[in-house]
Amino acid sequence: MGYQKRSERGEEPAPKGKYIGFLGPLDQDPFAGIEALGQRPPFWVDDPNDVDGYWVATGFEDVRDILQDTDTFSSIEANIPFVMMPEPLLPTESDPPFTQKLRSLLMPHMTAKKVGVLDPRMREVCRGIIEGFKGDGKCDAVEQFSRVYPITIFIEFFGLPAGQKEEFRRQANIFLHFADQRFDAWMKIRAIVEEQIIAKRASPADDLLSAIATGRLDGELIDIKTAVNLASTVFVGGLDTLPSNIAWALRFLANNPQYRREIIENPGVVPGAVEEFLRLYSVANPMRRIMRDVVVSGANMLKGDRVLCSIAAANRDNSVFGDKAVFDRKSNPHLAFATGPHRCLGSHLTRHELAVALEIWHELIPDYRVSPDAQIHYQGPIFAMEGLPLEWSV
Amino acid sequence: MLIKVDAGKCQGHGRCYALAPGLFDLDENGNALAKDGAVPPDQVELAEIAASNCPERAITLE
Repeated sequence: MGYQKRSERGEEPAPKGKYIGFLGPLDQDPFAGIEALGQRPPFWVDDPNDVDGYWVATGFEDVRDILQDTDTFSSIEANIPFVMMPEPLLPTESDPPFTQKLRSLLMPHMTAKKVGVLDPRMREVCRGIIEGFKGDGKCDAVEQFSRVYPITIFIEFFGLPAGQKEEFRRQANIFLHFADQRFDAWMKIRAIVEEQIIAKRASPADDLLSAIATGRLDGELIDIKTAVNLASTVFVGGLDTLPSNIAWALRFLANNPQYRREIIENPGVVPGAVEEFLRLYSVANPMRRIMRDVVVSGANMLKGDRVLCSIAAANRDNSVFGDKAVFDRKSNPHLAFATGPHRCLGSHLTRHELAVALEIWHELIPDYRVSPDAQIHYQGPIFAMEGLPLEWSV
Repeated sequence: MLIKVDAGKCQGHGRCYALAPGLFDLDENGNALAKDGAVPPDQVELAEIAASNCPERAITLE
């Protein structure tokens, strides 16, 4: 198995669209690039970083429908850039009904209610971190806050020892952003997780790793290999996304004082603001492999092609959402956590942690700006800012 | 007005429950269930909001 190029399949080239960077270091703000692209039918791009080109879907309905239709759009061997891995990442790189079977082990432990229990701890951690640099009058909001707070919560929720926090974060970052080192990073993450899974199976605690280690599939105790795989995927999926969400939200609020004022004066708008930030700054770009020839909004997708779903583009479809950020919109059916059976399992954790971050940050540091000399660098395919220097008066 | 949640489409986003907890319950996986009975007249707008916020379009109002 593996990826077979369109030309090797004897197919004609597809009509090309403008390539915008999704992968690796990006030369511009990815959301500005997507905004400039506008809405259009799925188009084909030749990606210099990949074995072949692929489709990019940007329309709200196209993206929603593709992600819901798992018979036509498979998650197996769909990754872009294409890297053969020693095993599929579960449940991400599986198709129904196996997907649901695996997710049923995780879902009861990741509901909004379960996550809500962590609220006081989230507030405590968040407050402690911000108070640590508040007196400095400046910080790098990525290095000192958005990458520190989520992993502190996640490590406890997940059940990993706090001492190895930095090593976990480093490996996840390599896995997510450096395709050429992905295999190696995955094996390192796996080794760390395997040790924990074996320990948790022997003496379970009240955490997610224990739930995975002692979970049952079809009535049988889960095998160690599958448990390690599942836990490792949850781990890499949780580490880089929320830090990015927090950083994008803070930059928007730093640059848009009138929106910041809304949050300072009425923290009740925070849940609506969270949804709006998730919509505007959707960091994930799910990929699918096409299982049968299909026409999507006029684009002739062929069996064997891949499609990258630009959730960010879909969520910026002006015909659905208008062209402004609105914190109190009545209807916000954004696709930030994808649709269909692969809906992000961390969605409830993300929402809650992002809300706490916005509340506590603005309580402690209501007014701040991006440092005038800041050079901000960007990464894909999980859209990330590598550093966000902020400053404020003390 | 009656609320129907398509269990085949619901993926547990939980938007309906967050916006209208009086009209929905969640099962142990966090998937939505419509509460029994007709929507009280003063909660019709809330039901419409819940339906329109569902990313899966899993909620229908009849």
